[in-house]
Amino acid sequence: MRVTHSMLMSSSLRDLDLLRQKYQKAQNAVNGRVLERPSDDPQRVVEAMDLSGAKLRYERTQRTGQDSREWLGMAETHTDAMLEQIQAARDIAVQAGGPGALSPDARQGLVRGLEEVRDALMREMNGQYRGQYLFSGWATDTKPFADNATGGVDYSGTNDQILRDIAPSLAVPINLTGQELMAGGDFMKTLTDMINELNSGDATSVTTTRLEELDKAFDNINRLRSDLGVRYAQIEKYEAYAEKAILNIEERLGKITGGNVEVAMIQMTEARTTYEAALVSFSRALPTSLLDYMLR
Amino acid sequence: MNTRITGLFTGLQNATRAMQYAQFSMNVHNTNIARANDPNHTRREILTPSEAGPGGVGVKRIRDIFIDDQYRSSSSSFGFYDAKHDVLSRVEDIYGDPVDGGLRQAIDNFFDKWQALAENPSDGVARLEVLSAGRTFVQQVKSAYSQLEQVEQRAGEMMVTRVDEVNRHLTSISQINGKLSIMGPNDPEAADLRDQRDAALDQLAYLTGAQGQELPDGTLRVMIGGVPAVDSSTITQLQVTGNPPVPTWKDFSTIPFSGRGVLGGLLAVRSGELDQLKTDLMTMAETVATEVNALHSTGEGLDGSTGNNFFVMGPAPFNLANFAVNPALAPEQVAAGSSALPSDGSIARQIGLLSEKKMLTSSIIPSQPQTPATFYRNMVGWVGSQASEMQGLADIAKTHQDLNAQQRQSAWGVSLDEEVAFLTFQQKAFAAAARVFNVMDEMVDRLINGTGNQ
Repeated sequence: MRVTHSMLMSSSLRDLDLLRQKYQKAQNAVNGRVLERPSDDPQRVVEAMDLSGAKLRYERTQRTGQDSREWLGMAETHTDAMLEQIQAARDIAVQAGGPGALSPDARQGLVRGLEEVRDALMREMNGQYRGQYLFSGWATDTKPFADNATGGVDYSGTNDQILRDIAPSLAVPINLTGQELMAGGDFMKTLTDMINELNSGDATSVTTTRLEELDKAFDNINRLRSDLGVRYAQIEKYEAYAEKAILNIEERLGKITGGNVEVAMIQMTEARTTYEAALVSFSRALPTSLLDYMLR
Repeated sequence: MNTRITGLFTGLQNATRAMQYAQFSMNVHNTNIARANDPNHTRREILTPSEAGPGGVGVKRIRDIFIDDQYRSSSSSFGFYDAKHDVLSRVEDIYGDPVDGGLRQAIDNFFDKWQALAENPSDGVARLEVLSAGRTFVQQVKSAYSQLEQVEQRAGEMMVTRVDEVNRHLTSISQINGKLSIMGPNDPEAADLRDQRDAALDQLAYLTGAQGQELPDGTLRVMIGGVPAVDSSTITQLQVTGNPPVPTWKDFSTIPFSGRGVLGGLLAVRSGELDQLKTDLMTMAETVATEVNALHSTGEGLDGSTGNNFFVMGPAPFNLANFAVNPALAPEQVAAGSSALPSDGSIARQIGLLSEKKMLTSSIIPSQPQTPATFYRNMVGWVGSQASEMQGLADIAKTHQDLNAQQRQSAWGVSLDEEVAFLTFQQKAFAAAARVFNVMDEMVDRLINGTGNQ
């Protein structure tokens, strides 16, 4: 093949340009700019976008989880207190059947105890978290329970569950509605009845019917409480999972977008050395021709 | 055998001719050396007297039509892919940092804020944030769209500039055709004109994928996408018409421009990728807005208002100019729930869950419905892979072109070494002829002055 001077020049210039491109790429990698535009590596760009989307979702899971656990924790505290109070009422009912309850004074003592229990229960059932009623369904600005004419309580909340999406297709209710609390019967009416019965000196039904009613209410609330515990644990599990996932995502994202600095350094040094060598050979080969030896 | 004896003056004449020939040759080599760096210069050789025909001297251009065709076809490919890549890389800029920020973040954020509102339906701040995330989403969609339109407009402007260039080259080729038809084939000036014409054809190949065919009368016919743009001195020029602008033939308005090269690339990317991206962006905005509205209008604001749309879209067909977050929607009217109850976040929750709904079918991956975020991410990925594919194809075409350029140079580029050698050779020939002339002169001198009367 016939080789002319301009061929030497253009091919050398092209090679130098390629080497400069390589050098620039290596330098970008060292500076941590591997993915500047989608075409740098479409596959990885797409992956990086997926990852940062997933990260946002997991962060939401964490925030949601924390908030949900606070709700559930408050509900748990209040149901615990309710169980204690019902237990106390139960104790009083048992005492009412005993010999110590025969005197009017002792009965008055028991009645006072029951009244205290009833007040405490009312407070718990109208419990609030950050200014919102815990047990009134979606109507969290409405005081859920109020005394009615028959000695029981009326529920003025709604029967809706407040759902929180913890994970894809896992929505956890974080509240108990008043309806659920009362599913074991209106224990407040039971307490009123007990007070009335003790006041009128009739302890028989207190120790039988009322005790059964209290047991039913206790069982119901106890079941609800353990349900709250299960939900709490479920959320906690996903929160831990999300935390781990975020760490993994961040690590992977760092790898994808930042690259490996050590490797990049080596590549840059290599590119630089080749470029310098090419410059030297270019500067030596190009200027010579037959003109340097003839027609002088 | 009868040998004709020639006269002394014939010898003188021969020597003069030889000196003239050597001189002419040296001129040719001088021209070659002088234009050694001109990429359009075709190395010339002097014709031997037998090649030049009776009484003539002349030059021939060392040119190879086959390599020329190859060079021009790779040049056309390079123009095509490079133009596409150029436009697509501008599109890439629109998407900004692919990982952080931009429209993708706006989409994620929009649905995330709904989720946040679902958790705190009565919180005024959460309501404001939903509205603001909605506005950011709208604004990002619009800005991406208007930037796509800018790129499109720029492609149109580039077409106009390129068409002007094409017409200039076509005119110059037809003019050269006219001059060449009245010139001898071996005329050194004809060689200059042919160099110019070849250079113009090279440019046309790059711009439009033009192919040339030299006719027996020495004129060049230029074909662009099946249309004879130059035939002898007849010329058909391009023009840019319509909106969006399209290159068309001035005299064949019914035949679309179907060349390749830069112009073909610009046209292809404008009516292909850019259009597709614009359509997809619109589809995304419209679908998301429709889905959100469908849920939102069934909900109730804190103030008891119902039936409100979150986005306003104006009358169909969907037009981004009318697309906005409902300006009449006050924060308390955002329908977070199906009721006005303070902890009813059911609607907000469902809108938040729309981020997982495969509601969109793109023109890029039509078989699979996608979620808004995936849809957008596929758009970006597609632009990236298109751009890098075009870059790759342009690189390949460029390599071919460079290789062909090397072959062309190898065939008809000027080698200084050669020219210097030939120059020296002709210099010696000239000296020899001069010497012969000297000898002849002495002979004539002897004959005239040395004979006869003394």
